[in-house]
Amino acid sequence: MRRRLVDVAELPAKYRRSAWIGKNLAHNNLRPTATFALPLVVFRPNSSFSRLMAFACLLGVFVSACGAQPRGPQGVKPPKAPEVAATPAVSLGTNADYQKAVLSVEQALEVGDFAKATIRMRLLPRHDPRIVWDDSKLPARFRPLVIEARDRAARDWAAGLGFSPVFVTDGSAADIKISFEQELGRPAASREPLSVAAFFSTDPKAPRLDYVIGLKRGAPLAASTETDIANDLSFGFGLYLGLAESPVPMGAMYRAEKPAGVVQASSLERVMAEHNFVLTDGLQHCIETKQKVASGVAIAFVDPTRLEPKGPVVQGTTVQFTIQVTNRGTAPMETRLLPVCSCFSTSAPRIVPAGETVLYPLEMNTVEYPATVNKTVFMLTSDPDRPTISIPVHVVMKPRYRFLMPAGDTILIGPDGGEFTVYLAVEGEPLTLEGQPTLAGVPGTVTYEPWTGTLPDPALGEPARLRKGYKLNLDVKPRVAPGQTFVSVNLTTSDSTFRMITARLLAQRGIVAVPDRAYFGHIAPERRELEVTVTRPGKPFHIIGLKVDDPKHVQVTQHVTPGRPWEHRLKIVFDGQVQSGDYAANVTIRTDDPDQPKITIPITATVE
Amino acid sequence: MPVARGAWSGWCAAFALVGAGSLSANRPSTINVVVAGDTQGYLAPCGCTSPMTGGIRRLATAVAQYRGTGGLFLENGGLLEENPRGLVALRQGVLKALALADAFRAMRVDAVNIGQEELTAGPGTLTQIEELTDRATLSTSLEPSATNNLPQWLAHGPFLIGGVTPAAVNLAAITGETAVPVKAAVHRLAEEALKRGLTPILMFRGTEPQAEAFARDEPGLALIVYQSAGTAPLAPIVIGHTMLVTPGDQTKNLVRLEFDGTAFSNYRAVTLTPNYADEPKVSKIYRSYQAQVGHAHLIELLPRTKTAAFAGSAACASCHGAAFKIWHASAHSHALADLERQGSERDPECVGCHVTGLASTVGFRSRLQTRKLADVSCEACHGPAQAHAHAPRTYRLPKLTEKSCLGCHTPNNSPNFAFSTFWPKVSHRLTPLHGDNLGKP
Repeated sequence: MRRRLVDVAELPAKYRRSAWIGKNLAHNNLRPTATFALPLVVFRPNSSFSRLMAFACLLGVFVSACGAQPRGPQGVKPPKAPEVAATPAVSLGTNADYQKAVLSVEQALEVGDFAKATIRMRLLPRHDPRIVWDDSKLPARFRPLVIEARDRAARDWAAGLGFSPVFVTDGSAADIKISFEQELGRPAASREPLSVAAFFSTDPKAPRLDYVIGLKRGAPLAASTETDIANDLSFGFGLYLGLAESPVPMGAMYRAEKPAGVVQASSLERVMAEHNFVLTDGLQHCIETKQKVASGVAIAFVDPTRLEPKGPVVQGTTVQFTIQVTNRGTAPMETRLLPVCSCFSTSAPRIVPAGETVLYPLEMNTVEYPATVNKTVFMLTSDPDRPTISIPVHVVMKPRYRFLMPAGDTILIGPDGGEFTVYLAVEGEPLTLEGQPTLAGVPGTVTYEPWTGTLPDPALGEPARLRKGYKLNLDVKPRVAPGQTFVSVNLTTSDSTFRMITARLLAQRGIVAVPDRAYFGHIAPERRELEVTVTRPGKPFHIIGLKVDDPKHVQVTQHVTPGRPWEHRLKIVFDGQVQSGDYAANVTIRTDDPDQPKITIPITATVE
Repeated sequence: MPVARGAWSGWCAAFALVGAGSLSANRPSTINVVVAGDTQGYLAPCGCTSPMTGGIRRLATAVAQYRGTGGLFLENGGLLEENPRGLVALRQGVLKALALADAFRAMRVDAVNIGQEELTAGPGTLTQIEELTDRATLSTSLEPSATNNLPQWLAHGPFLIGGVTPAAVNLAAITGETAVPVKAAVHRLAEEALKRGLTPILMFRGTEPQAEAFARDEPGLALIVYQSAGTAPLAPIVIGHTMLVTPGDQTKNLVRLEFDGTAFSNYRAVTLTPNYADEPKVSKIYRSYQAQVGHAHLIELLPRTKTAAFAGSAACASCHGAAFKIWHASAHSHALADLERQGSERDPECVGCHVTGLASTVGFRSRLQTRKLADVSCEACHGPAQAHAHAPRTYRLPKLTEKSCLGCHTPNNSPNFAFSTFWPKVSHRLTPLHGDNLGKP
């Protein structure tokens, strides 16, 4: 580990912030005083994350020991504040306007302009904001409902957060203005209006947040509901509290176009809002104690902007990416790689000192993806201009194995049973079969032998090419019930990721009704038709009788398919004029085959 | 009023158009198009972790919302998995296919592309899918014939919709029809659309590179829907005048588009999060499906292997009291109740991860028969422990690793699973071991 002198302004702010905020969250009666006062002789951690964390913990212990004091009359006298201190970094997941407001206050504090800093503090969220509520464009009958929704949203954020907005009707010195418009503007290339629009203002005479809610939204255009507006308000409060729109579908800051119900702020969102208040309080304290701070801005540069391995990847391979995050700014930058899929794993959040670069490893488990896969990961940063950076992931996949059946997927069972060949084609590392493969669904045995040959894969649209794997020989005994049966061939392999693999087949013996039941689904009380094919490929037979057990509601007619004397087509007509609920009946077919003299086709429906 | 620049600048610019809404009246009327596909038998999330996405009940809500009156809803096929694991999954696949087709009818689907996966549940089920969707099924990959029920294409408003599968040979073999080579099928669609003066839409059960090749070979195609896994991309691919889109898999996303009479635009990928309500009619269909799965007794048909005997968590508690308390406070201890709330407690696809020893001959059968094995008990992770309970020093249980969790906490079932954050919730490493407890009063 290299040791060198580091100026306090260079010190990654996270080290102080974590202890600073942690202390305040744990004990509400504590507030920071000399949290920015730190020893100047420190060591710079290298890339080892564990050492970095150990360092952060040590520093945290030091800071919490000297940096906080009880509030109120019993509190001890704060230690004398140093002239310049580094400021804590903002939380990840905060919005750009909040981050810029923090920066503007810090810049004023840096030059010791405490008056300007005081004015700029108004840009930061307050515990008790004055909110101008203008519902004049709401229909009168809708107002009480919307006010109820508004109060519910405010209560949701208020719980445990010390957030108690005051709603007023006059516009003097308001922090937030909430109003309604019939319809908001449309983003370019869209014919769908925005549901809300938020303006953050830096003008001290104007409300910090001007928030407008559309009373019509969507395509096709529809009236906003009470639920829509409640969620809009909750989102708006979150914006004011400094939070950004979330890419994760949870909580108040995730925007859904068609919400199912009123959403609530998640616990994480509350913690972030509380962090923002603690930071605001800390800056206020600096103003009160005439404490100068060092300011700086983080500028994120992420490379690559799209993750895509060269060439196809065999399913099951762990794909490894590296994302390089460079901080081209002057302040330490907090970063966190947020993959919204458990198929990814990555390292813990990192701090990128100014002018430096960190590498995020990202591993993708591809076991569940036989086909080309698209995902997105998000890089959260404390760069005020780019708080959330989307990084698309695109991986062209090759399935680990394929079952190829050149003769179709149906085993025809004759008087002596049936034989069938299935090819198991393997991609990537060889896959060794272990133990004895089993046949389920029909009696029989499976043997196998290593195989190399040229076959197409029609299901994937691949032409014939050289493939390697196994040839599976199926020997099905004749003791199979007449009709069509599912069959599976179960194999155990040496690959722990694909330990059990299964080939799917059908076995067919004698006369078969396709489909074997007539299911009309959930229907209105109206006439429906369905065709059933009764077939014995290559061996003609006769239907000598047709009987329906509910002839009042079901009629059946049949004809032989032209050119296919072994195939009969039954048209089943259900009039639907029955009591609502589940309906069941049967069609019984009599044939001239002594082995299958009777075939029953159940008819089912749910009549609404 | 000064306006802050940054993330909201786009909104602000758009907001500047407030009042310009009336302009929309002068715009040419547009057609909303909703694209879904590759359900792969994923009818609904089991709801065991939050926030699980997707499912046909949410899809129906979103489709109703986004297509509007006169819009178009396209389903690119892939209703079932191509290779379900085992006979029970195959049988369940039939029920899934019927429920899906019924649900698509309730959503007033305009076109369903038929490919390899629709054959999984057999030709009979394919016939049922055709009927249940009110004959919205199609395949440009089969030659028309007197016996072929699948139309080559369907005309809807200004569109001619075709459906092509690389698995045409398989489709033809099972239906007893003749396959049309993929390139020829795509060309036929483009040619027919030109002849009729309609806008061709190609639904394709193949990959992105293949779809890109079609866009270059047949520049007249206005829209190509192709197959992929994961989420719908943030932006579409555009080659010339052709837009290429994919809804991802397992109905977790859909794609919204608008057609202004000449081209597609306004691409949006929508994730079907829990924010989308369950649509009532499709919810009813889903409940019927759950009932049919229960009536089919599929759980009883699951293959089971011989294992050692289970002891039940109560037996573990007698020595590992602290560990038992941690488990009892965890979601594992009421995992089956979560399924029961969803009505999926008889669904073999779900139950295995919510009980103990479903694959064992002496494992879970039902809450009544094997009460001590309901939920994800100690032995669900540590393995059968009756021998260990009787002689703890002789029979040690194997140590667990992250891999032990991944069998159930898959990307589908547990989208936000990260071992480092989930493990502390159930960790009980500090529990006193037998050696510390045994023999003590």
